[in-house]
Amino acid sequence: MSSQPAAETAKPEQDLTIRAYLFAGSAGLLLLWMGLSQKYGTLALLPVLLGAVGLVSFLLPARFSWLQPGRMQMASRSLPILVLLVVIVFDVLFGISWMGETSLFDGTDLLIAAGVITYVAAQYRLFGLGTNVVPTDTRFRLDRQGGDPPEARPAHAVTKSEWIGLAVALPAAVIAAQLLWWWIVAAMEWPGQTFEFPTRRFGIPETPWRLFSLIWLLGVGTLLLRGGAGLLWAYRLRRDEARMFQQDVLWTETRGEQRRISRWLAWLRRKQARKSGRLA
Amino acid sequence: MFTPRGWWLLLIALFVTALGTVLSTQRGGTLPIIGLTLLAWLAIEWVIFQVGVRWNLPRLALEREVRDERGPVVTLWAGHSFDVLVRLHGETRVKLPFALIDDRFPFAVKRVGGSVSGVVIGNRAEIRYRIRCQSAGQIRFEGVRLRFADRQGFFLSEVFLRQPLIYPVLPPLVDAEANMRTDKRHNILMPPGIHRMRRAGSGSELLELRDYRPGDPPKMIAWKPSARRDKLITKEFETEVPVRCTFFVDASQSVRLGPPGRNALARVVEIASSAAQATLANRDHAGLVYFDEHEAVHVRPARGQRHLIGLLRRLAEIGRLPPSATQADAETLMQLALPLAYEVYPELMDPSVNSWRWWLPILFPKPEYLRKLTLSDALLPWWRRLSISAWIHAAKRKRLAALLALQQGAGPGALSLLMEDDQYFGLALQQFLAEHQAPYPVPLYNWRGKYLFASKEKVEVLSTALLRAVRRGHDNELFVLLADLYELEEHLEPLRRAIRVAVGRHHRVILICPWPTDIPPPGEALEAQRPEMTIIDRRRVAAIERYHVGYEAIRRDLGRIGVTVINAARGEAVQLILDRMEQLRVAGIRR
Repeated sequence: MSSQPAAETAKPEQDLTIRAYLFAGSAGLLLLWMGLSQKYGTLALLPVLLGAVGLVSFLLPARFSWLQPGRMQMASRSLPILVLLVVIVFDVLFGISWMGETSLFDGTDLLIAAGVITYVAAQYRLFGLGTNVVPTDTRFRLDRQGGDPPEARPAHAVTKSEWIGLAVALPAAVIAAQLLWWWIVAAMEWPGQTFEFPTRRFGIPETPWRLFSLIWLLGVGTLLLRGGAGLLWAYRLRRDEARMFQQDVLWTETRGEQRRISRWLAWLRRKQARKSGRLA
Repeated sequence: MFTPRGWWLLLIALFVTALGTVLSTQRGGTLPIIGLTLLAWLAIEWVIFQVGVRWNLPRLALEREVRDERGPVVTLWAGHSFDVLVRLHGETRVKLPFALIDDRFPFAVKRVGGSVSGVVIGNRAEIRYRIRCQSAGQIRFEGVRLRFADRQGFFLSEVFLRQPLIYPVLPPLVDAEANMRTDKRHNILMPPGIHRMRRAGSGSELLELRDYRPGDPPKMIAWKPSARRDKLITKEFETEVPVRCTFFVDASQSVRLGPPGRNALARVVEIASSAAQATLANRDHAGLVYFDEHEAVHVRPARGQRHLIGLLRRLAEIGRLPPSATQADAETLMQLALPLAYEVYPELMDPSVNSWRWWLPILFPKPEYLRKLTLSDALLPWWRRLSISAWIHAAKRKRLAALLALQQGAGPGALSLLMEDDQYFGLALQQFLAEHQAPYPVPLYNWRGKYLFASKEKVEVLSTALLRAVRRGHDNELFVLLADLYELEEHLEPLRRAIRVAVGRHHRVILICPWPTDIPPPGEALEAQRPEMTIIDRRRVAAIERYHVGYEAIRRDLGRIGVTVINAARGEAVQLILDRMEQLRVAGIRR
């Protein structure tokens, strides 16, 4: 990483940044508890406590070396996933809602989603600052063994715009998710459609219909994102990348003929090498 | 693009969304909303990351500076340390994601301080480290690697900003003991030609008296002898010419073998540069002939600072020449070239521009006549088509072949040939590794056990070059042959003839044999074969014995015709050259 003096001067900044993200993560857990406690009561404390364990590992001061804070932080990297799994299990086991068949807005869902996303974002950013933001690269290198070690993000790389971005992205994601779900479950009034119970659309039961809608939505979304990124990629190609791309296209078009010619040439060379004694 | 962390979250989000959607009619929309929120957030972060990387990348500029204590330099010196300063900057409105910068410093140098890594903050980064050049030659800075990551560590993008810069590393300047002054010690700057020769010229020492010839200048008349003999006598003075020394540097494949900077060629270059500097410091003339199996390049003997720098530059150029064998093992070289290609050309190895059709090895496997047959080929001919390792190998080879074809500028035809022809592929890989100064192994023996680097053509080239130097030589010169002649004892006759011609014209010839660093020099006790030795140890001992026997044979053979033969490992080669030059001067003074 960067030079040692820079790392030392960055220590107070790192503490401040980590505290700020700890605060954001705790706020997320609070929202999550508020949402989950309405549905599952006391049980809601379990995912919240799990999440809190992940945050606490960053609260440990460095002088508590006997607790090995670094190792605890590394060990807590799977906790956000565990929190999500616990929420899934609770919902599968205890989640009952009378609004399942409707497209009505549920404030509790909004609260839980906002809590989860805030906690997950803060927790992963903490991992980025404390443990690693770039994963271990174990690829073999010619000039060194063991590849590249994992790298953390220094605190002085944190800027104000990062907080603004987070403050915009999280509510945008929550609102987008609400709108998408509303689009999936909203019962559209088609001309000539008659009321049925259980609900059917075009003769398809509600659950498969929602699943198909979700797949369609994610598929189209992925295609749009990929298409946009592809356009940007093509627009910003560097010269050698563009040359490689063209060479690849040309090879794809002519590979059959090229293969036949090349194999014949290779055979000829081998024959000549064998005659001259260079090959067995 | 996704890191493992990102993949896990994406999979969990998709799972939550799908499961929640299936259960949503009974259990409400909690789970799908959580999943969709995570997916929407991942999408937003991905778009921000993509735009940040893609938009900014072409606008990033890289500057590199190599400095010594006095400022930026364009030429480096072996054995010296230099600071490398790398600056990255880009003027853009879109903010760059978090990025790490790593400079890829050359193989031939050693880092002695500082860090080659840094963090890009505000589209700017600066890294500074110190390197030490270990040997003469060239060093190549490839560029810097940039690793972009989002703030959560979900996405990773790796690019390499290539900015190949080659710096010549000149041989080290010799120390004071090599700069031997021979005459006129009180002069700060010696006049050219301090060495007296027994020829008439315009020097200051009297050569002889002779009868006056019409046209002789009156100032040359020796009046006292004229008065004694009663006829006009003219004084003749000695000529003052410098002694000339020509170095014949062997740059053939056999001396290039070994780790760069620690092979025989590096030692040869070091000796030649030290001796040339000492020679030129005495205001004598130094010339250079470097040769390989095909040709010899002559640099006429001259003197002066510019000539010295020119000689050192040429020695630096040949000092880093990589070995190449006509029979390269493509598989071994591919293992070395692949990580280098992925490190230096990550975007060109990316499947988006360098694709692979997975079904090609299944439908069109490499025919038997183009590869080594194995037992499984004979027993299960179809097995190779289904082998996953063969499929992975073919994909890697295609990507590497595409990169090599692009570098050669030969298009898809070369790509296809590189995929099919092992020999062509091996040579291209050698060239690729050599260009990037990466060390690589070369086979020493062919399938018949014959040493591949014993080249009798080299002897012919050296003999011709020596004869040419004799033809163009002045007075008595010193010819220093820095050549590897091992395993060539049977083909030395042309060289013997050329040496006889040189010696017959009163020139002197020295042969300095390059000596591998891992072999004890002559005179040291050799390890004897012992029964408990392994096969590898026995081979090593046999090779050492063979080397010593070869050296003794050359010493005896060429010693008979008046050539001084020493080996480069003894560390007295430069001193010997200077002593011989001194003898040439003395030979000129004696009457």
